[in-house]
Amino acid sequence: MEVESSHTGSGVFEPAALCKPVPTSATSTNSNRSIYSDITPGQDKREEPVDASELVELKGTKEWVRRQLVEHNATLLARQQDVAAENSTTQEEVNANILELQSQLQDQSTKLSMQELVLERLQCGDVLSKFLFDPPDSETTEEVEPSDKEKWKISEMVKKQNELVFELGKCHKDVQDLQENLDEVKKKSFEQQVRNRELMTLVQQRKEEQQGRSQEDSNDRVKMLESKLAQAMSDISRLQHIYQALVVGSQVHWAQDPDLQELMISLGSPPDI
Amino acid sequence: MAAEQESDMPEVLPGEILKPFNKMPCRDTATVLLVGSYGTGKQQLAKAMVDLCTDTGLKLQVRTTTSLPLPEENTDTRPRIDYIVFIIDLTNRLSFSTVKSAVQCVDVEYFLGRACFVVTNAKGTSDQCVEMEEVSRLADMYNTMYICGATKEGHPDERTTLANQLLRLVEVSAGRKNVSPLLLDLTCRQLSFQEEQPEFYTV
Repeated sequence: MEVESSHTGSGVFEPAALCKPVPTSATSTNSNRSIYSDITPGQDKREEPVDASELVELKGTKEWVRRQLVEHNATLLARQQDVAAENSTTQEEVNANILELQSQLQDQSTKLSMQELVLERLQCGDVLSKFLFDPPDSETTEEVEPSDKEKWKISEMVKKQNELVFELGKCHKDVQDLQENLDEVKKKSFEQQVRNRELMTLVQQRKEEQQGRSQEDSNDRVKMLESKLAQAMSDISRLQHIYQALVVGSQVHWAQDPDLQELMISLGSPPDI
Repeated sequence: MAAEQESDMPEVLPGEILKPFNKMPCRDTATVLLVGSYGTGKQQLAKAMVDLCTDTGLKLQVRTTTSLPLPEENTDTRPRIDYIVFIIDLTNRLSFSTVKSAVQCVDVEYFLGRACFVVTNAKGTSDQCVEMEEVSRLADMYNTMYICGATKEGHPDERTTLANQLLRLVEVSAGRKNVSPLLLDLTCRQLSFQEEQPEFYTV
């Protein structure tokens, strides 16, 4: 087994610049102080940087110790709980518990991050407003009056930020309106779809009925009706012939009477439906 | 020889198991243990990690070993191991079996965000004798993530990237970031217990 190690010059943990992601509340306060310490009117300027770095280191150590304590306590708690709950819960229940706890943990963590961001912003805003608007105290005889150029620069930045935020708000509103429109259109199209489906089912039903009806045509019932019809037709033609024979047998001059003539001719034509 | 090792696993005594909370943690110091058989590139990876650490305020100590359990002679002088990295080379069957026997000598609390598997030679399936599925099965069994990377001389950029990723994990384990290792661990995978879903491990 081999060992390799690295040694840095100084073992001091110093926080990076203000743009460090998600700093703790302690470090964000300190980083504000370190950057703006030259600008905000304060106590003795010369001693501050030295005190600040020591303070930062102590704060860092305190945070580290707190985290270690939390981890150890959590482990202890977990070990104590295991023995008690072993017999009662099944694997699925344990899984469900774990999932729920995981999502809770994530929720809490995101909440904390948001709160820290908000706190940082508030602190920045506070320092900025003091820098721009508050008059310096009469106690500080030495300058520390920020130069007009710096003030102008920062106020320009703030104005630009204002404009950007305003534009952002506008875009957001437009997007919201578009979103509402989209939702309405989606709802309408969904209703159309439902209506279409109903109509399709109706059409299908009618198609099925039609198919059933066309099948019935070849049924026996129809054949029976057709044969009955044929029977009736032959009866009618038989009666026609009988009637004709009667008229002829009565030796009436049917050709001389127009009505009788018409009757005899009509009796001659076969029945046609 | 690999088959013999798998069937003939010696029993691990309780005293030999590595535990994360057996010793006191040190401020500004982190210790990483790289576990992997010969030829997996531990030395190069260790050097890369140490080089990256010279800029930050962290004193990093990287220890390497070819097998667990660790020898008893150094138990008192050895500092607390904050993070364990198991290196598996897909072209080396022995490395996989070494890791499989090594994970049994590690306390389960390391697998809650204080350990990970590193898989090398994952590209190019022609030389591989260890299936990726076996590795992912092992990782699932221990509920730990695996990172694919390169540790050898031919890929300095990939090695640096891998060292960066590992360094971030080590910093979290050592308590330098305002995040607990368990929180980081649970954000690295899908929150579900379905067996068939593929899980993506990224940091």
